[in-house]
Amino acid sequence: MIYLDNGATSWPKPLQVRRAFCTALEKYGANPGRSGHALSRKTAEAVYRVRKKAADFFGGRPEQVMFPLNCTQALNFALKGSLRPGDHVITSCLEHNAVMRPLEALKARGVAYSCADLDVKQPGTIIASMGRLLRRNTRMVVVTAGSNVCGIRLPLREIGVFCKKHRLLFCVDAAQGAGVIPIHAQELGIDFLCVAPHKGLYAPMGTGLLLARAPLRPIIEGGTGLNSMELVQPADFPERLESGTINTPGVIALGSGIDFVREMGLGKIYAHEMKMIQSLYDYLCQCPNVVMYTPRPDESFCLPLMCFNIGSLHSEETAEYLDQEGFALRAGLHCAPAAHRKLETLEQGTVRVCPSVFTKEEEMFALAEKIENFAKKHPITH
Amino acid sequence: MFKEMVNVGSVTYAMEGRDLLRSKGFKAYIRRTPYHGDRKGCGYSLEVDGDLSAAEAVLRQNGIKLRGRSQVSRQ
Repeated sequence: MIYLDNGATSWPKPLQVRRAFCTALEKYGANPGRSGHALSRKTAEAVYRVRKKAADFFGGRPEQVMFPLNCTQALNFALKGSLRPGDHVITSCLEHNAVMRPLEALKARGVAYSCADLDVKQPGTIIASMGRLLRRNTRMVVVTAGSNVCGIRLPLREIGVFCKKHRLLFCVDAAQGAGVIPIHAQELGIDFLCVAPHKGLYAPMGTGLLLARAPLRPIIEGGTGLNSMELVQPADFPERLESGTINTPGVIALGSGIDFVREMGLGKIYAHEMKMIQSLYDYLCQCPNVVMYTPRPDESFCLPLMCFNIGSLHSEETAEYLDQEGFALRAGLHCAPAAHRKLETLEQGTVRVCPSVFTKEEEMFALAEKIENFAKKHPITH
Repeated sequence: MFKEMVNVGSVTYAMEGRDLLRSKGFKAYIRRTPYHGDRKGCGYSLEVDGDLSAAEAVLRQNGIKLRGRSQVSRQ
């Protein structure tokens, strides 16, 4: 099986990550931050080292790093913990439901939102669009670092400048970009950075990361191992947002994933994965009946992932055929109907190709040939 | 004999504080905060060999929040 669904979760995981997970289960078995005995302290040290690594990698302080169970939880903490009734939020037209559903739910609490449009070929056009949407009560901009459907990157640096100019909180859904492109919260002026470590950082599923550089109200209260006599949640991060037991083996393995990405180098990872996507794109451009939705991907505007369709077939049918031929791809709406609305693919969905650092060029050629042969039998009928 | 420790709250701040103090030449160790029936209960403290007030100043200057002192018995 050739796995090209790394946008859902990366696979395989590097050997060092798998070993770190197993070591954590064997040797770091106590609950960190709860007890004073040696094993609890040793486990807490291991978790703290990962907070430090993550803080260093993403541009913050260790206590600003929280470990929810996934990026969706991180986004919920960031949005629901900062927005108040009467606030207005600007987001983009490409967002995943991890952003859109919390925003929609917050409408019931008096929070409004607007979606900034952009030209897919020139994502920088979103800045002017955001300017037109600005209101007196606009309090936050929340955007994806890059679309999980089509790979379009948003200009985070320029958006950070926009937020600073207008004194807005800046929240980034880095589920697709973290571990592939440099994202430094301090340099980019990001207040809340939400990461899916099980994707670009090659961590196990069940890990999330939130780097919070501004205050947040908790949305989950519970035991934190701190100030137990008080019935209010602790005031300080990270415990304020880490009620209950964290996914300790996952977090320790996440540390190893960060090491892996650092050792490989972001530039090298990006260049490799983009080469895979460009090889596929260039081949498919020559194929009749294959539809693609962006210009040729390159680093000026794209993460290394792409989407396509064959003829008028529903994307799930194409993915099913490719699955039978040994290729693991995701089709449909990718939990991001907003992006599909923008691409005008709401009915058909799209098939997504997302390589990892382990993907080989011959695998992309094998996929391209399968798509080409299948496409010959399925013309576009409308 | 009793020794004073500085209370820092969470294990994260305790580790950050310990590493900071050690980088400044202090010998610092993480301990559980002894519960003496105060309002808060549960947390971590830093036991320091040397001038505790000087250690507290270093911690404060570097953004580590301090939550008073506790005493622990030492032989």
